[in-house]
Amino acid sequence: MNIDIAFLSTWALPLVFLGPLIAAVITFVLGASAVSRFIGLLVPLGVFAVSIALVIATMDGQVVVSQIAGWPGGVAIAFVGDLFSALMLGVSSLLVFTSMVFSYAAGLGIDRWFVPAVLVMTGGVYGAYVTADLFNLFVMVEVALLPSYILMSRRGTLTALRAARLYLIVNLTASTLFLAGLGAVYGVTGTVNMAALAGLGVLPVVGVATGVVVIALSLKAALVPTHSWLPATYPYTSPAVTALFSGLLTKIGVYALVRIISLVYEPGQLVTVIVVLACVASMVIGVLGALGEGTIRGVLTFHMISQVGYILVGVVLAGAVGLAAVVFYLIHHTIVKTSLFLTGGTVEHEEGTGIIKRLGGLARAHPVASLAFLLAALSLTGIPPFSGFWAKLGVLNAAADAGSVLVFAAALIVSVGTLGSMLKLGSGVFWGTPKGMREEEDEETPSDVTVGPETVGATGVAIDVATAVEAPPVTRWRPLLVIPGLALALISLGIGLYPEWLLALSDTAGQSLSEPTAYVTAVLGGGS
Amino acid sequence: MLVASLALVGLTTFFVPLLVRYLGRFTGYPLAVVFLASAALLLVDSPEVMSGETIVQSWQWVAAFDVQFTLRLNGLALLFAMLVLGVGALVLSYAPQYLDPSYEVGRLYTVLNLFAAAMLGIVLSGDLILLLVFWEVTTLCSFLLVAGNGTAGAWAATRALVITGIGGLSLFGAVVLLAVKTQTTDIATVFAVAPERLTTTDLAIIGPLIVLAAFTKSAQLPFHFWLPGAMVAITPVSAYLHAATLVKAGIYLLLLFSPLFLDMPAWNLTLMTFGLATAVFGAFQALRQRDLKSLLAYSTVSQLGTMVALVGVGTSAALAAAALLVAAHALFKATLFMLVGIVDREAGSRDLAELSGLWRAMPITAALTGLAAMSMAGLPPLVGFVAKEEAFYSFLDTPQASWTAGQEWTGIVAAAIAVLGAALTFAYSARIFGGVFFGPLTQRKLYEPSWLFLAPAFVPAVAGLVLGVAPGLLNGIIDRTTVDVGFAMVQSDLSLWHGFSTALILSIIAITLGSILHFRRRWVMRWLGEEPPTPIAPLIFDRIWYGTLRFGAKVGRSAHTTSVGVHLFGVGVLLLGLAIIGFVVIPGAGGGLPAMIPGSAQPVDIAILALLVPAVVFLARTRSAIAALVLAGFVGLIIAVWLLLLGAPDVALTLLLVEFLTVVVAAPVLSRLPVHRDIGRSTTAAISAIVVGVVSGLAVWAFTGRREASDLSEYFLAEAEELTGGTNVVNTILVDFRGLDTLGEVTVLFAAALGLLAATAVTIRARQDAVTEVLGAGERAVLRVGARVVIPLLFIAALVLFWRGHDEPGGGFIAGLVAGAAVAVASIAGISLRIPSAFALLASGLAIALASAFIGPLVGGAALEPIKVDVPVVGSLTSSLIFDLGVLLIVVGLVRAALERLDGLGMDDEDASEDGSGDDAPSATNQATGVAS
Repeated sequence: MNIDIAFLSTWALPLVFLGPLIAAVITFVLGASAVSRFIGLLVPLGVFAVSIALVIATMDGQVVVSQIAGWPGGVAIAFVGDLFSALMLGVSSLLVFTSMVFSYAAGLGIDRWFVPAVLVMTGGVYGAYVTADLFNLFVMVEVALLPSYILMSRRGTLTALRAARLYLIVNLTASTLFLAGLGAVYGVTGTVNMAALAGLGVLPVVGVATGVVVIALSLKAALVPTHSWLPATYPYTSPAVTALFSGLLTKIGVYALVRIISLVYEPGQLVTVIVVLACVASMVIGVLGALGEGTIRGVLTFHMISQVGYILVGVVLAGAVGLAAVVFYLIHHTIVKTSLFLTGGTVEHEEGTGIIKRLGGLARAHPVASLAFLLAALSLTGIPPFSGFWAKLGVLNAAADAGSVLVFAAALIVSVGTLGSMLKLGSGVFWGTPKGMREEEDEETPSDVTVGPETVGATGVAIDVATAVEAPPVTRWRPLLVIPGLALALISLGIGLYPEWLLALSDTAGQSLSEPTAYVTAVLGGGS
Repeated sequence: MLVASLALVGLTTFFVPLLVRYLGRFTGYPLAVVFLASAALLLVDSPEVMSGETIVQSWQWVAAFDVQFTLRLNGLALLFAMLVLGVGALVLSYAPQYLDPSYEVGRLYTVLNLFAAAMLGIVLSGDLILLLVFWEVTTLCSFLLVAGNGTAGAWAATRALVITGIGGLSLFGAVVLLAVKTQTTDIATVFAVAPERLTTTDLAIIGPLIVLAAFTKSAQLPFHFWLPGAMVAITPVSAYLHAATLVKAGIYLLLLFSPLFLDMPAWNLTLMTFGLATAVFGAFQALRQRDLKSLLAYSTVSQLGTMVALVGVGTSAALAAAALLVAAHALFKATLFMLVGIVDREAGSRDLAELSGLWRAMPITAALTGLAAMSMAGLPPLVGFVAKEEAFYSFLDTPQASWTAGQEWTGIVAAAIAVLGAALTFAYSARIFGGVFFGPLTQRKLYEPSWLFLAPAFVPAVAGLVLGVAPGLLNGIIDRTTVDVGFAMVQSDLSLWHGFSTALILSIIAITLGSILHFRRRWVMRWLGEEPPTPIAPLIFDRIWYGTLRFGAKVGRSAHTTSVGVHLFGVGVLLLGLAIIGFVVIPGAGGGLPAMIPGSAQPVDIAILALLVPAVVFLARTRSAIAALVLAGFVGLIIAVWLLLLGAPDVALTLLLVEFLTVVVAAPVLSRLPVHRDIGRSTTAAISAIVVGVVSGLAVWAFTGRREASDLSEYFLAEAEELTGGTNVVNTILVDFRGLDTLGEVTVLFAAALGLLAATAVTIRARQDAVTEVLGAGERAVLRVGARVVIPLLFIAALVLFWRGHDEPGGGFIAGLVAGAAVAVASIAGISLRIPSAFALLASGLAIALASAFIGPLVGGAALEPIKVDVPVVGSLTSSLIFDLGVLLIVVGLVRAALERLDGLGMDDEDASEDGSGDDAPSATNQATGVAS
C-alpha cells in the first residue's frame, strides 16, 4: 500500500498529540453534550487510523520521523513512528475507544469534565509513545498524569479520595525522580535525545544516571519492589477509570522502560541481572497477591504486577527474540487486561459490588459478561488458542534461548497461580451458588469449601446435572456495558487463532529495538 | 484425507447450535454420523498406514516460531483416532436417549464436538506446538463439561482444571525446551535429530515435564483424585472423556515420547512405580465404592496405572500390550458407563446398596453389562482377557528391557503386583454385575429400555467379544504401533489361547484370588471398612489451595494501607542500591565523585546556606500549617535569589512568582484546617529525609561538572539569535526550540485548572469569613488602596514582560504569572476585576497555543515551527509570539481558577453568576450547565 510518508511526518505524527488536545478544548467548551461524547469516540478512532498507516509504513523496519518545529535532528524534539510506537498507538487507541464506550454506558459521560480530561490524558499517552526525547517523555507523562489525578478522585467517595491522595503522592514522587534522573543524564551526556543516548549505558556514569530514570519508570510501571501502590489505588476509583488507567498509564511506564533499557544499555550489563530479578519477583509476588485478594479489581490489579514481570523480562533476554516477545506480550496483555477490567466493571456496575464473597452464580444473569470473562481469563492464563498462549510461548522461548532456568521455571510455575486466581474469580463470581443462597462465611476459612467438596461429595460424585431442573435464566444485560469487554476478548481470540501477522510485526519491532540503527539515524540524521 | 477428517469434525462445531435449534437433544445422531464419516475418511488412508507408511500433511502456520500445521497419521495415531471417533459416535448416539428433554443441550453438544475435534487433533498432530494447542483445548472442554451448567460441578471442575492445568503447563515447558534444543517443532524431525542435539541433561529436564503432563492427564497418583471428582458430569461425558479418550491422552503422550527416554532407567522406574501403585490403589478404592460411577472412575484410575506401568517396562511387547489395553479398556469402560447410565435412568439409582435383581426386569442390559464386566475382569473369551494376558507376559519379561540389566526380580515383582491388581479388578467387576443384577428384585415397574438406548452399548460390548475370540484382527495395528514407538517390526501373534503359558497361570491365580475376594466380600470389607472412604487427596488439595490464598493475602497486605511510607519504601531501597552501585562502578576520584571545579563555590553561598538551613529546620519543626507554608515560600525565595546570583534570571523570576502565588492560594485554605497539635515527629521520616538529601547531593555532585558545555548549549548560544530572531536564549528554547515541551507543560496547567473547576467547591460557603481569618478589617482597607495602585502596574509589567520576552528576561509564562499576581492581589484585597473568567482564559489560551502549532504545516513547514513575518512598523515578528500568548492566558486562567476554587475570594456576585454557580450545586453536571451558559 502507498503511504505518504511526508504527510505522516508533517501532519499525522504531530496530530497524535495535538489532535486530542484540540478535541479537549472543544469538549471543554461544549460541556456534557452528545457532540462531546461523539468527539470522545472519534479521536481514538482517528489515532487508530494513524497507527494503521504508521504500521504499514514501518512494517519493513522503516522509521517515520517528525522533527518538531523543523529544527535539525538532535536539536529538535523528534516525534518518531517506528513499528513499536505504531503498534502501541494502535492498541492504546483501541482501548481508549472501547473504554469510552463502556464509560458512557456506565454513566460517566454525563460528567462534564470527563471527556476533556480523558482526551488530555490520552494525548499525553500517545505523545509518550512517539516522542524520542527523554525530557519530552517526562512532559508527556505529566500531561497524561494530571488528568488522571482528576479522574482518580472523581468518584468522590472517601476511599476513592484516600486512594487518590496516595496515587498523587506516589506519582509525584515518580515524576520528581524521573526529572532528577533526567538532570543526571543531561549532566553526564549533554543531551536528552534518546537516539543520542543509544548505547551510552556502557559508560558506568551514564548507566547509573539512566538507572535513576529506570527506577522512576519502574515505580510508574509498578514493578516489584515498587509495586504496592498499584493495588492500593487502582481498585478504588470507578471501574471505567481503572480500565483506562490499566490500559494506558502503567503501560507508558512499561513502554518507556522497554525503549530506554533496550536503547541505552547493552546486553550483559549488570542491569540485565537486576531487571531479571525484579521481573521474576514481580511475577511471583503479583500472582500471590492476586490469589489473596478479595475483590475483582483487587485480583486483576495484582495481576498487572505479575504480568509486567512477564512483559519486561524479555527486554534483557535473548536480544531480538526477547524483545519480540516483549512487544507481543505487551500488546496481548493490554488488550486482555482491559477486557477483564471492563467485564469486572460490568459486574460491579450491575451488582453494586466487586467483593467476591458477595457475588456468585452470575453466569445465569450475565451470560455474555461470563463468556467475555471466560475468554479473557483463558487468554490471560495462556491457554491456546488465545493470544496469551503465543505471548507465553514467546517468553518461554526467549528464556530457553537465553538459557535462563530461573525465568523459564518462574514463567511456568507462576502460570499455575494465574490459572488459580482466574478460577477464584470464575468460581467466586460467575459460577457457584448465587449470592443470597450462600451463607455469609469468611472466605479465608476452609469452611468456605462448602461450595465445593461437600456438595460434590467426598465420594466424588453428586447430583447428576442432566436431571437437575433449574430455574429459567434471568437474562439481564446492557449491551454497551458488556460488548466492549467481549470485543476485546474476541480480538485476543482472533489474534490467537491467526497469530502470524502480529508475531511477524512483533518480530520486526523486536529486531529494530535490538538493533536501533534505523531509529538513531532517523532521529539524528537531519530533517524530516 | 487426514485434514478432511479433522476439519469435518472441527468445522461441525460451528453448526452444532444450528442443529440443536431444530433437533434439540437428538443432535447427537447427526454428530455421530459426522464422527463415523470422519473415521471413514481416515480409514481410506489406513491401507497405506498398515503397509508401513506415515501420511503427513503440512501447511505453513506460524512462521515466527517456525511452526507448521502438520498432521501425521501412523499406526499409533490411527489406533487412537479410531477410538476417539468410534467411541465418540457411540456416546453421541447414546446421549439423546439419556438426556432429559429439559436439559440445555446446546452447550453440551458444542463442547463435546469441540472436544472430539481437539482429541483427534492431539493424536494426529505432527507438530509439538499443535499438539500442545489441542492438549489444552481438551483440558478446557473437560473443565466446561464437568462444570456443567450448574453449581454442583464448579468445585470439582476447578480442582480438575488446576491439576490438569499444571500438566498442561508442564507440557508447555517440555515442548518449548524440545523446540529450542532441537531447533524444530516437527515431531518426526525432533526424533530424527534427538540423538545429536539432545543431551542427557536436556532429557533429564524434559522427561519429568512430560511425565508430569501425562500423570496429571491420566490421573496417576498423586493426581488421581480429579477423575473421581469429575464424575459429577453427566454420564455421556464420563463415558467419553473420563473413561475412553481424554484420560488416554496421557498414555498417548507417554507412548509418543517413549523412544526418547527408553534408555533412561529413571523414566522406566518412575512409570512402573507410579503406574503399578496407581493400579493397585485404584482397584482397592473401586472395591470400596458403592456409587457405580465412582467405582468405574477408580477402576479407570487403576487401569490407567497398568497402562502407564506397561509403557514403563519399555519392551516392544509391553508397549504393544499398553496399546492393546487402551483399546480394550475404551471398549469395555465406555460400555459400562453407558449401561450404568441406563440403570440410573431406569431404576433411578446408581447406589449398589439400592440396586438388586435387575436381571429379571432388564435381561439384555444385564447381558451386555456381563460381557463388559467380564472383559474388564479379564475373563476369556473377551478382549480384556487377551490384553491382560499380554500385560502379564510383558511384566514378566521386564528383565528383557535394556534398563533393568537383566535383573530377574523386577519381572517377578511387577507381575506379582499386576496379579494383585487383576484380582481386585475381578472382584469389583463381579460386584458390579452381581450387585446390580442378582438377588431379589425390589423395584416394580422396571422395563428394558428401548433398543435405541441400548444399541450404543451393545456395539462395543459385542466388539469386545468378537475381538476376544479373534484377537488376530488387531495384529496389524498393534504391530504398526510398535514400530511407531521406536521398535523394529515384530510379528504379533495375539491369540486367545497361547497354551499353558506362565501368563495363563497368572491369570488363573488372579481369577481365583478375585473370586475369593468377591465371595468372601464381607470378610474383606471388615478389613477395608464398610463405608466408602473419604478421599484424602482432595482435602489436601483444598488445604494447599486455601493455604496459598491465605499466603497470598499476607503477601498482598501492603496494598491495603494508604500509608505513603510503605509504598515508597521499595523505591528508597532501589535508589540506595543504585547509589552503592554507582559508588562502586563509576571510576574517578573519591569513589565516583568528580573533582571539585575550582571557583564553583562562592563566599555568598555560605550566606545563602546560613539562611536556608535554619529555615528548613524551622519548617520541619513547626506545627502550624500557615507557618510551614510561609517558611516554604521563604525557602523558595532564597533559592530564587541563589539562582539569580548564578545567572539565571528567567528561572529565578519564575520561581519567585510561583512561590508568591502558592502562598496566596494556599494560605486561606490552610488557615481553615485544624491545627494538628498531636502530629508526631517521626525519627524514621527524619532519617529518610537526611538520607535522601545526602544521596541527592552526592548524585548532583557525581553527575554534574563532568564536561564542558554540551554541543547543544553551544549550538543554542551561537545560533539561536540568528535562527529565531530572539536574543533571550532561555525564551527561544522555551517557545522556539522546545515549544512542544512548553505546550505540554501548559496543557498540564490546563488540566490542573480543569481539575480545579471540576472540584465542586463544597467548602467555600463562608468565603468572606476566610479573609477575616487572615486579615483584619483595617489591614484590608489599607490593602485595597494599595492594590488599586499595584494591580494596573502589574498588568503593565506583564505586558512589557510578554512583549520583550523573546529578547530579555520575560515571556508568556512569566508574564502570565505576573498577571496572575495581579489577580491574586485583587483577590486578597477583595477587588473584583473585569477580566474574562478562568474558563474563558483557559479555553482560549489552549486554543491559541494549539492553533499556532499549525501555522507551520499550513505554510509548508513543520508543526510548531515558528514562522517569521516582517510587519512594517514593529519589525520582524514570529508566530511563536502567538504561542506565547496562549501560554500567558492559560497561566492567568490557572491562577484565577485556583483562587476561585480554593479561596473562594475576590469574586463578586457578577462573576459568581457567570461561572461560579456550581458552587451551590452539589453535582458537576449542574455546574456544567452553569459554565456552558
